[in-house]
Amino acid sequence: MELNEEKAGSPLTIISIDSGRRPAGMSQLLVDNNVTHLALNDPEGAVSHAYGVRAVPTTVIIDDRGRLMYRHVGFGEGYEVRFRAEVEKLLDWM
Amino acid sequence: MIVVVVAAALWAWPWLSERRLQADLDALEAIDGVSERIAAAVAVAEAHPDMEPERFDELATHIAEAAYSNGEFAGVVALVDSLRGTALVPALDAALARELHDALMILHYYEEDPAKTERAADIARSLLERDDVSADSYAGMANIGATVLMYKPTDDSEHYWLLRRLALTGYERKDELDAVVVGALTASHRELIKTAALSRGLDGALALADSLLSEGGGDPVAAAIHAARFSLAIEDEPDVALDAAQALLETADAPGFSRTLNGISYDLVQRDMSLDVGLALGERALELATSKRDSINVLDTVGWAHYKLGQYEPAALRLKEALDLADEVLEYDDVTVQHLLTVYDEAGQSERAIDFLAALVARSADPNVEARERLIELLVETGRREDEIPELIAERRYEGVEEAPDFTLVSEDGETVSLTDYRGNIVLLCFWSYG
Repeated sequence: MELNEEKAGSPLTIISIDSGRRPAGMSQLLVDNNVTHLALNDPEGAVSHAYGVRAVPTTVIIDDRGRLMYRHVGFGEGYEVRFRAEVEKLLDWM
Repeated sequence: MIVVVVAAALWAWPWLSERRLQADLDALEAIDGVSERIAAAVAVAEAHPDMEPERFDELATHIAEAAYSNGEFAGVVALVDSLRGTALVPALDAALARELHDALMILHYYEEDPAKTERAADIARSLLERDDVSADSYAGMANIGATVLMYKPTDDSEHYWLLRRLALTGYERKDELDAVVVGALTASHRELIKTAALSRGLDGALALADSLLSEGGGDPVAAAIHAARFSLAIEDEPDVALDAAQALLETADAPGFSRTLNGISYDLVQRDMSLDVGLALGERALELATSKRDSINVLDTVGWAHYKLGQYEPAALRLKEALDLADEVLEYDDVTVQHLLTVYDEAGQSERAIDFLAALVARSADPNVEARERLIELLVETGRREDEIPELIAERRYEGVEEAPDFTLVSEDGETVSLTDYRGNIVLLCFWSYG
């Protein structure tokens, strides 16, 4: 994700959470979208469960005070624009 | 003493056997190489030859998935072809044949190759002769067949009758009615009757539907036929369509019918036809909804039906329920959002509309030009001022927002990391796998 490079030096952290239980085709999506800033293992899937993840990929955006502000399923058209806009908004509100 | 020990062991045996089987099946997921995984799956089949057909389905799926990752659906066909005729446990062979059927149908979808549908049909016919195939497999084959033929029809009308037979077999052999079986019944009848219309005309197809109804088979089968009658007749024979809609109220009682009923309900409401029947179908669809997504869609339909009937309070209530269920941030051009705003408008409830719009704009990162314009209009209408907007919005920024659950996990580099380590940062969390 270009967002990685763009926001280097700003208070944005991108974390990926993986329990290894991926549906077919997800590995390719991972490679295509290059989300590797910080990769955490969630072997029991407990964190996925706690976040109510039903479909993958799901992305949530958390603000500087730990509030869950945005949630998005999939990497459909225009997702980067939306993420960027959400992150900008939250940086503004900090 | 020995008798007690032996008796205890015999009592525990099936439970232990099941545990061992589950462990063997779980272990398959960890095996990476295609041939290794296949060999392991075959070994499981040989170790547990008396498993339920559903278990063999699981094994066959593991094998098909391994083949899929190697070369898409053509890879599944090649692999299964190479495996069949080797000394596989018969039930595994049957389960693999099912996977082959599905792969062939999907290849027909992409390549439009009648030879593939022919082969798939032959496989389906041979599987219908067996008693070691799961009900879900029959229903699954009917579903995939109907979906593929919906987009890529075949000239061979026998194939459509075969779909129906597959669906009916799944229905007869299944203990409990569920969405899979109901889906197979509705899809297969829909395609059969639709195709009949091409060769026999509308009247001929309706006559066929009537003769199928007289064959009986229970409410779920009748409901599937009525749903097909509705789709067929709605444009040119509204009376027949209405009759079918009413018959659905009497016959469609199982959870799997929620989507079909929702579709028909919405259709009637959009056409301003028999709104009472439309509402009743929507309410039934709501009772039968099993997933969140289905509930959201049906709530929108029911809300809109109430609106068309001039029942603004229940309309607003249902539409709000739909919006509250949605996980994602709402957009101004979302159908349900527009529905709700229309209701508030008709009912003259500007205050509620202002509240709703302010919350929508607050939670969204979009500039939301149209929503803001509407907000301004409403404020002006109610004698308030445009410059109230920033405050209205700021108040609602964190409305309904929850705290992100904390967690502590280990990174791929061995570091222990907690979410709270990142207080003061914006965190973008990507989930790649299920809980």
